[in-house]
Amino acid sequence: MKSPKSALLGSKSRFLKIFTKVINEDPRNRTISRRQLSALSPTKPHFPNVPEVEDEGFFTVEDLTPKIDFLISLPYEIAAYILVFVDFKTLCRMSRVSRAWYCISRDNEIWRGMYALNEGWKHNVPREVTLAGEVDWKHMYKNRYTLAIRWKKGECEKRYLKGHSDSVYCIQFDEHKIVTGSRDKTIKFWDINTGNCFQTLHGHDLSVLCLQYNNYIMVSGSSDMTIIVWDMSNYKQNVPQLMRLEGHCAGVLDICFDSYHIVSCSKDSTIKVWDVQTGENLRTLSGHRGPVNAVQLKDNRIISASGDALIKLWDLEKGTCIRDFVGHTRGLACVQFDGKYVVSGSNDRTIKIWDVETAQCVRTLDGHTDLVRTLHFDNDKIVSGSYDQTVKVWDLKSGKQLLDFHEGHTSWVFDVQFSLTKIVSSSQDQKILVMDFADDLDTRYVI
Amino acid sequence: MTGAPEQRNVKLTSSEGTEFKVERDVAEKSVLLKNMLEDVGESDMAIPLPNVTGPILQKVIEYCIHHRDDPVPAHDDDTKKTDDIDDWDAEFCKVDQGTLYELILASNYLDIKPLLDLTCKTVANMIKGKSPEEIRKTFNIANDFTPEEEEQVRRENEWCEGR
Repeated sequence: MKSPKSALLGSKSRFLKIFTKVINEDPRNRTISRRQLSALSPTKPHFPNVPEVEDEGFFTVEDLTPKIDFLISLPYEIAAYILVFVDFKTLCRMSRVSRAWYCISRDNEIWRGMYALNEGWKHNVPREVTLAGEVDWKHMYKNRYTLAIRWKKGECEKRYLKGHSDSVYCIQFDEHKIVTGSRDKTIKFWDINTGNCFQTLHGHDLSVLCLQYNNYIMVSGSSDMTIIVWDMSNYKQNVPQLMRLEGHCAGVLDICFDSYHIVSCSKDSTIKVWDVQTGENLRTLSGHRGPVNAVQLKDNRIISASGDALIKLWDLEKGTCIRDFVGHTRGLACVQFDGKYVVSGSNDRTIKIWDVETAQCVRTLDGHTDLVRTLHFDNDKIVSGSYDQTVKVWDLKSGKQLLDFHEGHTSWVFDVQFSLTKIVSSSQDQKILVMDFADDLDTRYVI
Repeated sequence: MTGAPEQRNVKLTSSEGTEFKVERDVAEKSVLLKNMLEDVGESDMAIPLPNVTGPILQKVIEYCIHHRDDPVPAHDDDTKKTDDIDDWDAEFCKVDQGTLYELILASNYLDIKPLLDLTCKTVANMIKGKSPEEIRKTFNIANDFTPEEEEQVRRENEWCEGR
């Protein structure tokens, strides 16, 4: 019969092989399957370990009731079940207890569950990758958590893209590239990872004020009163012009499009709806009494913001105004609409959140000290850029200001866009600022 | 059928052969016993439980009697919280680690999910909020890392600390 001590050593050494393998692997791919760990479960519960008494006749006041290393003594399924009840910080500390605890506390299923508990932590791990057990969920958790903390604290790596020779009016970006339009009449494509400009488009005769792209086309609007539709299907090589839309009798200040329509707005106080395939001008929406600075299209409804201090909601098919949103005291510069909320920025220095159905202002955000020129929001937050040269981040639900970036730009901020990992802004100072919250993090599967 | 079914006693035998008599609804807190009783039907035969000792079976019965009128937990009611343990349950779990260990095994074997949850949560609470060294002390675990490994593992888990 084994003595208690040798039984204990035996059960611990079972983990040594896995431990040695795992600790030496690339941290990006350090998974331990449950099957590996289950195989290490004691067939019989082993004898509980008894505190070692070093010396006869030496009495300590410590609790001398037998103590048990629960995790390695229990069958693996039960040990893993205990882990379900601890939080991630505890799980991390547990991995520092011993080699066996290190292995057990890395249980991939536990970490996967832990990740799923966090509301809003989405991922796009391909099914086959999950099935192959190739995702290290502790690694995923660590990276996603660190990203969340950096957003909370405003910790990011700042990088400038320089190349435009005048104000940069508009930007859009994705995981590969940033596309910008400038007063220097060009549109530039930048590699988001290297920061290199790899494409410069000439076509507009004056400032490029607005642009939007998808995988197939890009639509840009200019002070030259025209809209150009570009072919994006082979953007790395070349971006040819598909058509040029003419009809506005002043600068095109903002545009947006979906699968069927292009909607543009202009300094001429009108909004025009175009057929995205043919370029035909389908209708013109009149009603604003000042330049229409911003426009957005969502499910056959158009939202527009004008220098006349009004936001209007329009029916795209009928071309009629559904309702006005009254409340800003000066002209509007920007607006975004997600189908439920409308968020607007104004020369009255405030941002307002509106309920689209009632046209009631839900909340007013104060903080900018000059015209709010641009904003972008998602389900959680609003990012805004202002002529006060700052970029600010706000909580959509509470309206609280979360972050304030003072030193990014040395002049008016014209456009700002953000993703899960970055804020990109452009300014009259001719620079594009990339604030990367995921610098040196692995965010492959984070969406 | 009308009214409450007639309560019958069920006989259980622990690993040492000690016999325990419990009312059927108490025994049926154990899914294992419930299924057995349904399969076996009317019988005066004692059910042998060779994996459970007398003192542990006594504790398990005590738990089942106290909780006999609890509603059957909803199928997917997996609460991960550990701060929802009531006073009686907390008192019930004030036992030495050996007993707690046996209770976990017994509740797993007898398939009494609320008791398995309670005992596992109790162990989780013994771990939570402690430093690695305090955890080692609590369970008398030897630190078998080499100094280099310990440093590496510490660095690897740094991200969750001090934020």
